Amino acid sequence: MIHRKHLVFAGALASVVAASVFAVVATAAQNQNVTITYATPAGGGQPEIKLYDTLIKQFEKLHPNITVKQDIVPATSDPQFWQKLQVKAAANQYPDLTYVHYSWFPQAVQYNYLSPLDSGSTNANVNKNAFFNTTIQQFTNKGHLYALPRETSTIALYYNASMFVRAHLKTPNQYAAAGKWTWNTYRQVAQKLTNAKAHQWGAIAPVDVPYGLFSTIYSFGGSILNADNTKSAFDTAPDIAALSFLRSIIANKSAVLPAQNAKLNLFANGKIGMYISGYWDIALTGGSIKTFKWDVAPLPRGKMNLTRVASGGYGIPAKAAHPQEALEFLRFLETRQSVQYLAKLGLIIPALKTVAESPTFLQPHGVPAHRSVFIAALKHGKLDPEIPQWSQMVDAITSGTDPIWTGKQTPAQAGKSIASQVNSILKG
Amino acid sequence: MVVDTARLPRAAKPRTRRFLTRLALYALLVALCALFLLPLMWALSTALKVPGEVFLYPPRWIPHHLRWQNFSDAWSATLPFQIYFKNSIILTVLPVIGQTLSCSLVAYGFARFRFPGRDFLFMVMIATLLIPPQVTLVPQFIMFQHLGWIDSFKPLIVPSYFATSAFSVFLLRQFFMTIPRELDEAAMIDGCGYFRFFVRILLPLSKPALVAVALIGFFTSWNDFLGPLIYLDSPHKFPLALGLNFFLTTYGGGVQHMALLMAAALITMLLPLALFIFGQRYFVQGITMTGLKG
Amino acid sequence: MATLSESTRALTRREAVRRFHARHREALFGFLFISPWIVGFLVFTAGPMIASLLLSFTDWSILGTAHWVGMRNYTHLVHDSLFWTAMRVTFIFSAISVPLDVLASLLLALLLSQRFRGRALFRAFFYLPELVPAVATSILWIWAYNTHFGIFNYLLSLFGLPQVAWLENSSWVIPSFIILSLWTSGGSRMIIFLAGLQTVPRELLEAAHLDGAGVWARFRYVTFPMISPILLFNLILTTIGAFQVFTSPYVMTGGGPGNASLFYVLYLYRNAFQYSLMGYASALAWVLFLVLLIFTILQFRMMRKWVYYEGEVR
Repeated sequence: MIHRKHLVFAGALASVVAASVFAVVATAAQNQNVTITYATPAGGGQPEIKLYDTLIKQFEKLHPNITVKQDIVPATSDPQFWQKLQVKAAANQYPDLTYVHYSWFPQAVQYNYLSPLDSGSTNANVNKNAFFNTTIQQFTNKGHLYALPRETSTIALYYNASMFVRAHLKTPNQYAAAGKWTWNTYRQVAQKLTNAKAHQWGAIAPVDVPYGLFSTIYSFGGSILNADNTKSAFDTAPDIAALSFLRSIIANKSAVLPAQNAKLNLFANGKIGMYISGYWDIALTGGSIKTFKWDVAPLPRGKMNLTRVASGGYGIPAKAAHPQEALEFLRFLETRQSVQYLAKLGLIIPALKTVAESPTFLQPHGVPAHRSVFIAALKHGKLDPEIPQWSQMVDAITSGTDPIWTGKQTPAQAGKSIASQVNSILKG
Repeated sequence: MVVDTARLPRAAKPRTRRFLTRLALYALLVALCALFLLPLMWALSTALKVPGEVFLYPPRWIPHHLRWQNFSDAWSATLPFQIYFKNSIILTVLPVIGQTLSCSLVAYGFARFRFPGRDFLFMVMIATLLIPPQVTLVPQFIMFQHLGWIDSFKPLIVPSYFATSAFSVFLLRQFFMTIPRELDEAAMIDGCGYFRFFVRILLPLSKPALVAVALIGFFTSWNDFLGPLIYLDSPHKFPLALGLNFFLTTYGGGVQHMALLMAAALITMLLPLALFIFGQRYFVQGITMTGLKG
Repeated sequence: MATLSESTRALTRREAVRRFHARHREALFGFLFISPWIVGFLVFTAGPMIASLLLSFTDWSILGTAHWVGMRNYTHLVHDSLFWTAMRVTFIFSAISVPLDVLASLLLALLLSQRFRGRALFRAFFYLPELVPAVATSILWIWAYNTHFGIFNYLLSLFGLPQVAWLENSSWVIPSFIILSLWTSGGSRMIIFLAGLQTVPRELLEAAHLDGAGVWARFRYVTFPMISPILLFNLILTTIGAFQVFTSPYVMTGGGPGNASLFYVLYLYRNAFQYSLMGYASALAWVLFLVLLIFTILQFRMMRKWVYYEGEVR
């Protein structure tokens, strides 16, 4: 026969069992090992993978319940990395943290691929002022920050100092110090350096899209699109002026066209006087240039003292499986120590101001002596327009400007044709 | 390139004429070969250079100092090449076996049997070659994801056991169709079944074709880049074709890495080359009719 | 049928029944032998192919949701000037490279099937380019084709010949890719022809020779018919390959200069993965499919007059 005390006892036993089960489950859940994936193209190759491996080990020590796995995508180009992310997304697979490149960032935001990192559950609580202004701007869309900046690069001029000395010319840095480093000076210098018999050219024409061409256009006071990104600006006067200038240095044979991905290769053989590129070429020389002295200088000054700037960063996909753990890892990666450690790669300028402006980073370890021009240029950085149709626009501009360099079309004609193509792309 | 087939040497010509034609032949081949191998000689020369020497102009064919170290550097110092090599072997040998087995079976079916819809099905198979893989990539990936095969070798190996290479089936079918039907009929009269005929008689006769299919399949898989890129996530599963990409960062093929890239590329060519030299001996003149009876 | 005696009729009937069972058995075995392909096709290939066809009628962007748009992609295609450019580039390239490729590899195979010392070595040399990884090939040839510093122009300068802007001149860029294609795939077509030449029975050639047939006649009446199935194969596969060229223009020229090397599949790839227009890219793919299908059927039809199968089963 069941008495009341039996029931009370049964009830107490049941609740004790329930509580302990709950406790076990709760602690198990807490101690449950979570594996997160970090997708990256490892643009810096094996050295970059190794650096991240070290950082991951440090992180895992601090967070024993989180394991980080690097998903390397050895793509040959940034669009190819985005291709793989898209293919995976189609099959409902998302990394927990991913590298984000500026070129496909607008598309990612358009399709809500990334979570906002300055609000909601994935709020990284970062001090935006700790980063360079343009890098935060780059990854801000619709009023929210969708990626945390990792690196940034401006564009500057690389030059063969020995060639300048041989030609008894002042170096670009000397001209710049005297306030005389303009595009006209650049053109004159290029012509003086050109020596057909010695198979030597003054410059590689900065016509590659987007690095060289956009930098030149900005410097001439032009832009790619109008202020609200609704119309192309290629048929405007400053743009056409930039295009005409570039045509002139090719026409007078003092500049060669940039071969696909090979500007540094051309420069390294000592036959090119000047070329324009980003910060990464410094590390890519790998100390292999021994036959001549070289350095970097600011871009020639045009109507505007502007240089193109672009960034890369980290993002957390909106449908990531473990966004909280990814957030922990992200916060760790953006600490001063981590950023400083990654800066060892030398390929990138860290987006974190304290690291980029620190003496250890700015210290010229030999060559080039003036590497600080890249950092200085950040103050006059101009971002490319951020539109989801970026890739299509770039292709239209590339194919549209080619006839200028081969002399088949005048800058004005080409500018008009590009403008109409881009306008129809923008309309969709 | 124009070759006068009348210059092909054959028996019963005056000896001096034969000698001259032979000489001309050799000269032509050597000239063609030299032209053909020019880029590869450049690759070899580059692989032996110090980084600063690679892009010099005028081009330097023979480096001042032969840097054989580039090869060992490419193999061990920069990359875990041994791992990539092992993966490449797995990702090549297994599909090739599958391909050769399944494709010869299917080709036999198409070549020797009458059944309703045969020609239509054959055209369907050919039609699978006509679609660029870039658009079937995504649906295929979704399908493999449902099977749980992502980040594994399975998508790159299993389909080959189901004659997914229309190329190989088509090639083998063409070959099988050059073999006279009298053989089949003679074998049937002797009481040989379809399968025994296939294994005992048809396959041995088709050695050159099978070797060609195996070799081509091997080389295609060995250098396959897109499949591994899309289906493999973990670096320790990468084959050589992906590993090579690490020499070319998204920052561009740097000066310092060109020599290593060429050295690494040449290393990846060694095994396939050895296989080819071994396999090409099966391309030896002729099946003889007399040997076929009985 | 004319009048037959009873016994003959019975005999014919039994014969017919036997033949029916034999036919039935043959058909069954036929299906059995091709069953691996049927399974593989249904599991791995048919689904994705049908999916891509259906996608061509949508506005799918991979990351977005697909909405049915009917024929809109196809009508847009007709008005897309880049579509026509891509078709033209690919067509011109294929029209020149396919016959060149097939002919060159055939001649090479004929040369290398003769008996002479060192034949194996020569075969290996001509096959070597096939073994170079695509990444290395592209990098190598970008440099070789470089206008001012590449080895080709350097060699031309040694002979006093004018420099060619291989990849920078819109008239030279397609020939540059034709040369590259000869280099990279000549080898595999050669070994297919080599294997095919093995099916030419030596006795036939010797008999023809004894009958007084010259080298050309022996080729025309013995060798050529015997290898015609393989020739058809190479022709069709080379055509398909030519129309689907992608990696080399992607890496080497990005479609330039001025879209002069905008190969069809390159344009397709961009639409699929860079312009987030996967639906449109699928439509592009199926248009290519139709074009190639027409070519393939035409080639099969034309060759039916020329191709000789020893063991054909009609």
